[in-house]
Amino acid sequence: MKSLTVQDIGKRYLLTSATRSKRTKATLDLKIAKVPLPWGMKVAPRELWALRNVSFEVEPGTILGVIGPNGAGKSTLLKILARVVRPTEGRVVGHGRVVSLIELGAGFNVDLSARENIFMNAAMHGIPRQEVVDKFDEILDFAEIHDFVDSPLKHYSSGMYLRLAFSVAINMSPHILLADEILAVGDMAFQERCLQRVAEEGKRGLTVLFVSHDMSAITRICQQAMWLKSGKLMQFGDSQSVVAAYTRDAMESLAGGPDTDAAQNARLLEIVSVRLVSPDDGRAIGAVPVDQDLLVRIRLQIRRPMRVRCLVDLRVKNTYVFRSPQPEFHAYEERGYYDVVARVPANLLAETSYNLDVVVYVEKSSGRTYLVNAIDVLSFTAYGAPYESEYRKGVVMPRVEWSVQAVEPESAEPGPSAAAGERAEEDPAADSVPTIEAPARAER
Amino acid sequence: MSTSPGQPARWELAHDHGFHAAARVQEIWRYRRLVWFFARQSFVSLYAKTQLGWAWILIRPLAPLVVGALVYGGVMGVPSVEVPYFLFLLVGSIAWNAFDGPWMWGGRGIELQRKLITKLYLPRMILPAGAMARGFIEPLVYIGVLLLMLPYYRYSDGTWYLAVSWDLLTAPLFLLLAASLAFSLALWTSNWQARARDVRFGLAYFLSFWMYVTPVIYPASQVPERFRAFVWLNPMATVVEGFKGAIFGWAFPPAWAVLLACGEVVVVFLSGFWYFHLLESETTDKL
Repeated sequence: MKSLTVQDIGKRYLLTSATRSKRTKATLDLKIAKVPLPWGMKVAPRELWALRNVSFEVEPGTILGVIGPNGAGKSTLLKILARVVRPTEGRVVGHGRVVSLIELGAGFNVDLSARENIFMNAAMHGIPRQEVVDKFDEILDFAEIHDFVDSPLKHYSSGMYLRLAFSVAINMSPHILLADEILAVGDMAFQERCLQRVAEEGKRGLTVLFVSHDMSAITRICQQAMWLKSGKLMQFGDSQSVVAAYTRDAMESLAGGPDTDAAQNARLLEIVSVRLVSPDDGRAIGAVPVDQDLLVRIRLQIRRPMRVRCLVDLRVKNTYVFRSPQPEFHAYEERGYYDVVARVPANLLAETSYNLDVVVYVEKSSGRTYLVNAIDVLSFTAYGAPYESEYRKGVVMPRVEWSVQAVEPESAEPGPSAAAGERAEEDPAADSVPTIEAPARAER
Repeated sequence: MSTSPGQPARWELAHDHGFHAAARVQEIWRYRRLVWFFARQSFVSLYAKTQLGWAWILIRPLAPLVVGALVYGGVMGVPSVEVPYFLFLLVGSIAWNAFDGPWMWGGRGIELQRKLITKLYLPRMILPAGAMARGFIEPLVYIGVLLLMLPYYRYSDGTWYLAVSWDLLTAPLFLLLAASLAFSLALWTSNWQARARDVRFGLAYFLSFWMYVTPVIYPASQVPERFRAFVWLNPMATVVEGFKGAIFGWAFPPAWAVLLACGEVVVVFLSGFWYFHLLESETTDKL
């Protein structure tokens, strides 16, 4: 009996003009497209196969890594198995209870206590109350949160939150656990405990599907791996060889871009790898807590003496968060491998997924410059204590310090209206400066 | 999915997995505790970030009641049979709001949990059922007001107005009928309400129209004789008139009208159950 049999599965999304506009923000296009067409005419929606012709089988007790670049269909696969989306074609046959950890603590309510959340989460997986009562102490033991069981989750640290989420999931005795990046987050000791637990449950027949961008975690944790690329299954097999094939492919596609002379650059330099590394021990990690420095390590192979300057772009989908160049060109005198590390200070990132691009400028002694692009070379998740998230928004969440101070009226500075008036006298065009109005709150 | 330690249960996923009503009902039963969770969650967050807090629970339903009594009863002089107009409107509003609120809130069930259902599977029919609870606040407040007003009228007018008889026991049944109709209609609309917000605004408009054709602010006896039979085609007319009849001891709507209303609710529920099933799996693709 297989734990999971996936046969020719496919998922098609129809991108109508409305859904397309959300992605590209083509407001004008949308307005044009919305002009009603004569009767009977239709704009054919664009098709997108997030996943197609994917078939595989998993034996009970396997930890299967799912790897691939962004948009390869990894999340879609997990969502199909979690029954969140329905496949357009194909068939999945599985055995036993499926528990998904697709998003850390999905279904947790930060206003409720751990006790209430445990029961609520179990109910969301359709698990009888008595089973949770029996397992309750075990859940708390594993999460190590005995003293905080009745305090709301918003007061939890990111580590406690993570431990609770994992502990609840694993203690629901799933037969199939769907985990997105979760086994790669958290400190080393916790990871070890998770893996140990997963291995124990594996003897009982637990199958884990583990999606991660952290190749070292995949090879360490998983016996088997599958590599997806633009919705297709590229390779399925033992994790070492699949990861090797994927890395090779990723590096090949990195080497050149449309505006670079790949062959030329390859003779000068190669971006060997781009990794997030832990500030403590330099180990590669796949996710980073928001309250910890983010270290991006770019490993370069320098093939001849030259001057090189790296540049890191951080994006959330198509929104630039920032572009940070290395302050100046660095002169490499000797051939060899070098690690260029960019340290992004803690308490800046938001709780979301980021994409990272690396651009390397090469200046030869002749004075000519070249460019090596590594677009979308890495994606990772930042996670953290989800405290009072109601009003927080944005692609960054720096720790902003607020203060309030009583002031005497005479010490008040001249208001902005007076300043605007002066400016208007000097420059009549200042009238056209748009005023910023308070943003309207969306009605619920 | 079984919970037995032995052989784990086999399941299958495909695009077209048919419609197995009994299995759906069983599944919902297994997840039934979620109804309470979602209901409670909606109560807790309802007025969480407002200044007046829980006072809104009283202000919101009472303001239209007082204004309505002044305008319809006072200025326009709508007849209210043999009870004070305020009391007449209050009792009618209990029945109407046991339908209006639960439908509007129940219909938002999926929309309010759209983040959750793209992460996690649960029988989505739970969501309208849980969200509906929030809509019961207004009728409950009106019932509270009624319990306060009855002794007041006993003191001022010398009569309770309330007819104490076995008929009074049918009052909750009429409210149950209203709530069942609300849930059935929420099954029809909630998927669309999650996909497009316009639907909710359209529905609010439609509901105010529906209220005017239902004898809430006027008695059914005001409707000209030749149109009277058409009034009973509207199940809410039967509910509102029946509820008023139970409270004040007036004549009930004709028996055929009550049966018709029950039949309509059953038809809307069964078709809504099927229609919800038809749409629910596509909804997560369209959020």
